[in-house]
Amino acid sequence: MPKILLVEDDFLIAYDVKVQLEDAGMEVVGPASSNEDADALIQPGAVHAAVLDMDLGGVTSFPTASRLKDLGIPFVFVTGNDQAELKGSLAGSAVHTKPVHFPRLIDTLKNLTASE
Amino acid sequence: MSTAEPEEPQDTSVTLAEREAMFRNTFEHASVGIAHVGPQGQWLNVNRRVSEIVGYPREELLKISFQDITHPDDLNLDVGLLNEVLEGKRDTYRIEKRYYHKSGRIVWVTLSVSCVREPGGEVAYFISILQDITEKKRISRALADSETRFRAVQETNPDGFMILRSLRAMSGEIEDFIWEFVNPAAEQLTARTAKALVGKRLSQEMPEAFTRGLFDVFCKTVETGQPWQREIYYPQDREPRWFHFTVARVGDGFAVSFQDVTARKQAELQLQANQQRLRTILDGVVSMIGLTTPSGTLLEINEASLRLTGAASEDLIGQPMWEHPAWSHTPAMQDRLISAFSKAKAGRRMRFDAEIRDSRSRLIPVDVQLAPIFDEAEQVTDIVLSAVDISERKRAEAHREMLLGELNHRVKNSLATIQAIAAHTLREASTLESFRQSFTGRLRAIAASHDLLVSTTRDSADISRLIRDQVMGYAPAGEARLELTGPPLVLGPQGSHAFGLILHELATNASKYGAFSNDSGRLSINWCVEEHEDEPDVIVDWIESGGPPVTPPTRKGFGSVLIEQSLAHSLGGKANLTFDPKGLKAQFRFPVRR
Repeated sequence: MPKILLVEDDFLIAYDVKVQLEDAGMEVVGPASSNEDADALIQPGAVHAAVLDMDLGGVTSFPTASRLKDLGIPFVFVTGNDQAELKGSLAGSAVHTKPVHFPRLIDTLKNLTASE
Repeated sequence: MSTAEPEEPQDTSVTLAEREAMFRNTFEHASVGIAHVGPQGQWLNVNRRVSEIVGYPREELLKISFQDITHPDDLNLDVGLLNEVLEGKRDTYRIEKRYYHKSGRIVWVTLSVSCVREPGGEVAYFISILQDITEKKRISRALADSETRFRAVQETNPDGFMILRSLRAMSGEIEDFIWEFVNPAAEQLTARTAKALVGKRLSQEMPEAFTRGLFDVFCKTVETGQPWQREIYYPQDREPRWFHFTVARVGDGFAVSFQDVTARKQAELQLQANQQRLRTILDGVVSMIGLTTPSGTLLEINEASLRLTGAASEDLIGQPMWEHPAWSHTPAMQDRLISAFSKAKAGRRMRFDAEIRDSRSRLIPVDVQLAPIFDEAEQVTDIVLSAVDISERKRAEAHREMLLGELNHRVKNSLATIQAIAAHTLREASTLESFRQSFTGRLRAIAASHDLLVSTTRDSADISRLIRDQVMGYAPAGEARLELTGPPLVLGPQGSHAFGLILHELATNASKYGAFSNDSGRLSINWCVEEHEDEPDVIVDWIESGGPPVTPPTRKGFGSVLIEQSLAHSLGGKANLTFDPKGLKAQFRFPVRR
């Protein structure tokens, strides 16, 4: 069962994503509401992919994204800001806009974790 | 005067011949003209001086009479007096008269006439003494003319003019001045008559000259001969006036000329005030305004520019505008200005946005304009450069963009929240009607929290209003069954949002199963603040009583998940539910300000 790290500061959305992913047969790690919380959850073998809310109450989730990238763990950004521009090493990362289209998000995550 | 011959001298050592010679020499070489004149006026004998005075050689003179060379205007007087002597009415007379010099010019003489009579009393001959006073006459005439002219000038001079002479103490020091002359204009300007002033002391008539320091000025002018002039303000009660004074030494005293320049001074002051006002406007409104030659050399610059860049105008005037520290901070900015100037020089009006640097090295965004000024021949004579500070506009633009982005973000997040609520409300709804009720209730709870945030201070909400908005609608008999206790407290935006939804869930639960589901149940909500080192927490107690007996739920629905977990997730808070049979109790703790 693929383990998906969920980082989302809004409780309702986090709860919703968690339930939707669990219904799709995935295991949700978290949800974490901050980069610090996420950090504690990222352990070897504990996470296969991640869903990251780009804006965590005023700070970005880029630190978590960078760490995941370094560890070779795939991730998907979720954001309400459809004009968000990703620069540098994060350019080209997958971005899903809110409100989330769950079938597509689940497809993406399945593809990212297919090799597991 | 005696008519007798001089008495014989008693000195016998001198011979008659010698005496004769002495008299002849005396007659001949006297410094005055001496003549013997016959009763009819013919010259009988004249000395050398007479010839000199009237310009005729002796031989010529002896052939004519004095009447022949006397000025016609003086002839009657002279002849009349002569006749009186002839008639015996007088023996002598003395007049000033004019002769025609042989050259044609007039000579003035003082003529003293006496006579030698025959024993019978008839005049034998006259003795005339002539003194040339032509030069003296000329000088006194010139003096009189000058005096007349001076008076005429001063009569008509529109400026006040007065002459005062020094009055000196024994030590030689000037202690006062005395009026010698006052012209009509001065009479008018001082409102005193010449009569009242001439001969009077300055200290008595115009003591203010001493208090205003004018006395010292007068003294200095008299002692040094250095003229002095100044404009002096007289702040009179009704009409303040300005006078222009010129003081110059005259003998041991001074002349003072003064005129009322109030009108000119007022015009000057008005002009100054206007210029100052214009300057103030320019300095206040525009960050930088400068006048340059067509090639960009700075001619004038406003105060604001100098303040802005902390430079002195002497260091900038005469320099190219692009050497100004505001522009020279980056080569690109300098090049931009140089290129703009070359186009303005060709007659084009330039406008562009730029950044200028102030004295504290801050970059200020400005709207720059270069406006060429043309003469009649359509040639550019000057260029006016203005740079208006548009930091405010830039800030407003940036702020608007930030707000738009934020709004977009929030709307998307809200939609995602609604998506979540809809999904989970639907999961638990047994009928479409129960979904509609739950869903709209939850939507309204979110909306109410939003309203509160917008209507109070931005991003914060008062806790008692939050509670009323979310709970009051479910309390059957209004406040009689609802008790709120706690200090005034403003919650942060995240707290209001999350706790608002919790309150909604608790209230709907109370109205369905708890204190508000029968006729006697009561709800009391108490809160207090617990101070910590980093940030204060609020602790809220929700206590139901008097409702139907409470039994713990068999399964956790969306509502109870939200009540128990949302504070912990978003705010690091805590929720604690106790299903006491006498009534539901819940305690919440979360940061006040977040």
